[in-house]
Amino acid sequence: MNIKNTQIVQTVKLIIGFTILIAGIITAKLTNYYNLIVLVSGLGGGLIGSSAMKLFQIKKSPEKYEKRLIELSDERNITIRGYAGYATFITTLLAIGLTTLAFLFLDYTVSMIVGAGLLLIHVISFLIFSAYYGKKI
Amino acid sequence: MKNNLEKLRKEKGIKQEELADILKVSRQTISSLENGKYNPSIVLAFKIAAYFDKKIEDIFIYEGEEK
Repeated sequence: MNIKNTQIVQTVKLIIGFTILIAGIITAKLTNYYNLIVLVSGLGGGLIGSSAMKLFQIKKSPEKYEKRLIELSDERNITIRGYAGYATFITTLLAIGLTTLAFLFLDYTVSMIVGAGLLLIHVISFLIFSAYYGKKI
Repeated sequence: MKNNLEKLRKEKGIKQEELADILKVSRQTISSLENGKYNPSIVLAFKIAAYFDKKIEDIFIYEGEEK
């Protein structure tokens, strides 16, 4: 994505953020769902914050921002992220496995089941994504 | 895989940073390519070859399976 496209996307995000925030404030005054509305308005605020910051960075130094975009899409960096991601996957798998084992020996049944569930989600999601990308590539 | 990238770049009289800007990659990628630490994708290899007006095999030399 080039700078022009990034500016368009961030401007749209800014407008959506303001719309969510204003709609949230108006709804909060008219209804009783205060907590839910605060959460939704927070989402709007988050969108405003992140997109305003990116637009400011582009305005301040377009060259610097373009360099950042190149760094992000740089093929060597993508390869590095791939290797790091796989290493992280193995590390997390081991960590969850060992924690689950520790819970088993400590007789913490509920924690052990949660750990085993996490382990299962981890492995199943890996298999699903492998199959997905296997078909895509 | 060996390559002549550093030699060709120096012949052109450009810095790693300048070549990186032209090819829209990071300077570290150019450095890793020149050191033989990283092999480029086919797209990047074509971009490099097009920039230096050479064939891919004139820049990148395949030496069989690495040990």
